[in-house]
Amino acid sequence: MTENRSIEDAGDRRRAKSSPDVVVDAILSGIRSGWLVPGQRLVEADLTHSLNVSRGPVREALKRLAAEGVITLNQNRGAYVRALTRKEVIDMLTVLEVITGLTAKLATYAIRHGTCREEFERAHEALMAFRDQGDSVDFMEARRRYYDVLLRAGGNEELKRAMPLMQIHLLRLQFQQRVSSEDRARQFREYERITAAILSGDATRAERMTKLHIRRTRMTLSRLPETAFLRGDRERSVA
Amino acid sequence: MPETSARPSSGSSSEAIVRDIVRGLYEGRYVAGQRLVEPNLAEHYGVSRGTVREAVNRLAAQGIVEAQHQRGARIKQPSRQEALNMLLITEVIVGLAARQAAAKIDSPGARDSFEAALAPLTTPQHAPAPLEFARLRSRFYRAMTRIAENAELERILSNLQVHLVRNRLVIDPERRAEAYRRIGAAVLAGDEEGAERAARAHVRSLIERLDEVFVTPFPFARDG
Repeated sequence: MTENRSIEDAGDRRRAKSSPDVVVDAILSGIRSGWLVPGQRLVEADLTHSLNVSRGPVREALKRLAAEGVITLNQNRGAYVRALTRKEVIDMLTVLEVITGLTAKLATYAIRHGTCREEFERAHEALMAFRDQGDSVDFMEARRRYYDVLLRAGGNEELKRAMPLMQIHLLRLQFQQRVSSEDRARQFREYERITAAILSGDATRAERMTKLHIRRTRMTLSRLPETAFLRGDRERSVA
Repeated sequence: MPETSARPSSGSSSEAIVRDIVRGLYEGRYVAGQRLVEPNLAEHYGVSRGTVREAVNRLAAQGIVEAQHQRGARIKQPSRQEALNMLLITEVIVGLAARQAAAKIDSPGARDSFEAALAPLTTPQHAPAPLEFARLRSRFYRAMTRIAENAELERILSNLQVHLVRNRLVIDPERRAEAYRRIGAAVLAGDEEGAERAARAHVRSLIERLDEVFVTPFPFARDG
């Protein structure tokens, strides 16, 4: 998927799919490319116009995305790319802690037996290349690929389906400006430990290091000021 | 098939049917592998065949039902690997639910609702019939998850479709009651570690039953 694609381009490419699919794909790709950001309003009229799709399919698409937790949909206030409240961030990360821990454990078993080992090593190298650089779309992509290899290696289709990838992406987008250089350095030390555990074949340790990493992220984010989060009672764009 | 007619009361009719079938899977009213016959469902729920078809399509999108060419639809029958995959996730998610319920057991009304849901599961000598037990079990996990108050956890758990395998994994009633007693005691004591451990151990005992239901052995040894 190329970055910085406009919503119109995404719509053209997928004319063979059903109309709601076209809209869903366009919105998802807009979020992935950073063209749509957490807290951003989605206007039905803009979508029908730019995607050349009627209101019914747009509404259906928005309902689906709301069910996935990618957008919030409200009768009175409309549709917004989801920005998370403080509680939602904490809740999401507590869930991510256990399922990503499981992902690392299952991946370790598989990699121990040779599955995806080289691919994982390469994904790790690619991720570590960003250690001394600032934030970027490429860094986010490298990190996404790192976890993606683990998910695939583990061979648990249900886990792949259960992993809330878009929500994770939204979470990262919402807070990417707020990560200090100390936090970033800590994260990279943690990736090193996770990778070392996985490559050494110690599944229990891999799970523990991964859980620790996500727990620390949760602690860090929980110390952020209120302005970093969506207020529980209303939607507004996150500064 | 369900014993009583379930006339949908609120929300879209097809959504209500989806909810009833999912609930029915947890409770054993519907079973994995069961064929869904449109006209029968339409009559049973008192809706049009179009509504039934919409419900079946939603269930297919959720991975619960598979359409069979010219033969209607069938509730999925997971393979052993699929069942294992689901249960591994269930283990960590239910573990988390128990942990969070233990953490929040002092919230208003939590203790009472949890105790009420727990009680019927801890008495093996008066073990309810399978259908009734499934309902009580469902009620217990709902109570626990509600106390945990984590929308993401609820979402993942409800999308897991573990009901497709759960009712096939039978545990001895005494052992089962003991498992619920342990989980219950830890949650009521606010013991987060203990609650998570007890809940995970219970799901692992279900995983151990897989080989009784499916023929092939475990793909790899467990490391503990």
